[in-house]
Amino acid sequence: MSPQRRNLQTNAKITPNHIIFNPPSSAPNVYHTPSKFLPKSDPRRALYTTAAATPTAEAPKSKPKGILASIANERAASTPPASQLKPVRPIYEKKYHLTQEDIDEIRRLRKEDPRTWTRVRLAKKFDCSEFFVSLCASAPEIADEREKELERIKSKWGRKKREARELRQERKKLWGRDV
Amino acid sequence: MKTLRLDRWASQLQPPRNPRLYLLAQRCPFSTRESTPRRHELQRRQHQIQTRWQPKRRDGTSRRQASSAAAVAEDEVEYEESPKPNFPTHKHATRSTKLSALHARLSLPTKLPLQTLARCLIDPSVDPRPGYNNAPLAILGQELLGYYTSEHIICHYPRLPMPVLFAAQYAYVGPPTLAAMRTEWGVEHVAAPGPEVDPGLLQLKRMEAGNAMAEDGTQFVKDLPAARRLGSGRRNDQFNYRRGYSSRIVYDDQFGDLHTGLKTLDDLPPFTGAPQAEASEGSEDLSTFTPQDHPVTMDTDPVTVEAASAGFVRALTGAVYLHAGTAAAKAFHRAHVLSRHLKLHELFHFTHPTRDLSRLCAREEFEPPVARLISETGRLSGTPVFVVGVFSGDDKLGEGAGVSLNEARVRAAAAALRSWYLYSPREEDIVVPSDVEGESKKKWKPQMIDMGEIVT
Repeated sequence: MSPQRRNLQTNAKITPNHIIFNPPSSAPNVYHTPSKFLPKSDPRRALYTTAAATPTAEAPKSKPKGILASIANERAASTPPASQLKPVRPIYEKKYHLTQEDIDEIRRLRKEDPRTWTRVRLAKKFDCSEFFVSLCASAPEIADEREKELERIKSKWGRKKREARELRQERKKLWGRDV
Repeated sequence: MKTLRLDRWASQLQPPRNPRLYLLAQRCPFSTRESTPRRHELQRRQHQIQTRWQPKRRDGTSRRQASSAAAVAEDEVEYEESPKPNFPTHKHATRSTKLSALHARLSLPTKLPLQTLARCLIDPSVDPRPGYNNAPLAILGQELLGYYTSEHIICHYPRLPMPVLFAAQYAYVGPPTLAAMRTEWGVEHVAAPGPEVDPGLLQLKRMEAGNAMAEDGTQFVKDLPAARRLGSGRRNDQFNYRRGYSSRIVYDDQFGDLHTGLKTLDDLPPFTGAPQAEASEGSEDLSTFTPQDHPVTMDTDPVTVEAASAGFVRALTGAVYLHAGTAAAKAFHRAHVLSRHLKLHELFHFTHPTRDLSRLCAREEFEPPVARLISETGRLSGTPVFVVGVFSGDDKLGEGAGVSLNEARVRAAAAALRSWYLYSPREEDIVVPSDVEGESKKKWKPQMIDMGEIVT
């Protein structure tokens, strides 16, 4: 008899009289709507909020009222709060700090010398997003030139590099799907 | 909606109530064979019922005030002229083992006679007369299937966006699914229709394969210039019409696709007595149209097996509803349509999930979403895995894994959107409208109606 088998037998004798809930670390099911997404009329929303409201520090002392509450407590104890997790990108607040004069200035600079004052440089100078610069001003006269430059660079790529890039684009399309 | 009680309306025309008990009934009122005088009388009545809505073939010059006897004689003449059915008669239906086996295998209600089941198997491509084929039943069945399916989807998933709703409807009751259902039921189709084949087979005039050689022997059938025309010739299928989702809801069929097989006004024969212009003569006197010029033609267009199979399943649903009522039709729908498992979450395809999620949070007045790294492994290896969650405040909205931080972030946003759209109320709160029809005991509860999909 293998040691594992013996262990199993000894464990079987002390059958616990409660449910063991130890789910594998898999992605959450999309059919389990997060409590924030539940409409106000849904009774499950109240259940979730009361379960979450139980303070985690007192949980070991006071007995949990139900299985759901105990599961919620365990999970809350094991997962760190969201504020402790590192954001993937720096969090920024929208400032809305540019005035009409600034926007006119962006347009003037872009029109005068679109090769020097690119979108990136303008965004850095005025402390706004590149998208906002594109909303304010555009330079269609250098678009052809840029495109030709890009084509020239692409023509130097070999088969491997070109195919790798194309495949990456194809894979990127699957990000929005559940496959 | 009240159930139609056909048996109370016309009990003398009804076939035996329990086809399994009275398989060899002495008299079949739907039979088209001529034998006894009584049967002949019944046939004549049946024929009158069937041809009531068809244009009468009567000569315009010989129209007169006919006595009743003359009318009967004229009807008989008409009946002699009408083409013989090109499918097994209903007399054979009661003797077909295939039909009885199908009836038993599907556990169809005993109120549904074998003769009706046989009629459900006759496609309009075999016989264009609506009194003989399954087209009238199929129209009813299609509406019922669409109604029961759409109310189920909408009440269970009230937030589904319109494209997904159309896709789900197509997945449940679209023609490919119905065709698959026909094969699962073990119903086979004939190679060519005829009066001698078994009535338990699906009767259709089969369309030639697209990659078969055309008559000229130089090109495929599918490459011929006379291309199949899709749509109804209305404004919405012109090439420059922008078919948005509002237009699909208003004009198109229940799947958001163009209607197929509809006849335009140019194709239909004119109504009786319509003035007709002659091309050559320029006189004022316009001759009137008589349907004599367009007799019932048996030269019908062939159909695909898929279309005929879909027609059969729809017709059977309609027949179950007519003979056995709403409850039986709903049970039939539940057993054969709703029992199919559809992965709704795979129907979504987001192109800009992060942008959509920010718009959603702004609309619902949640805190703006922030992607945070939950765990990672192998950052410096060739195959890293990052697990990223999207949080709004302290609440996690979605979670995704990917080989790059960017991929995990986008996947997490898509998962959050999916869990928003796939919200389902509690099972005990869901009451579909057809549940409270008629004398049912269920009480209606107002169902959730969502604000609508996210517009960016």
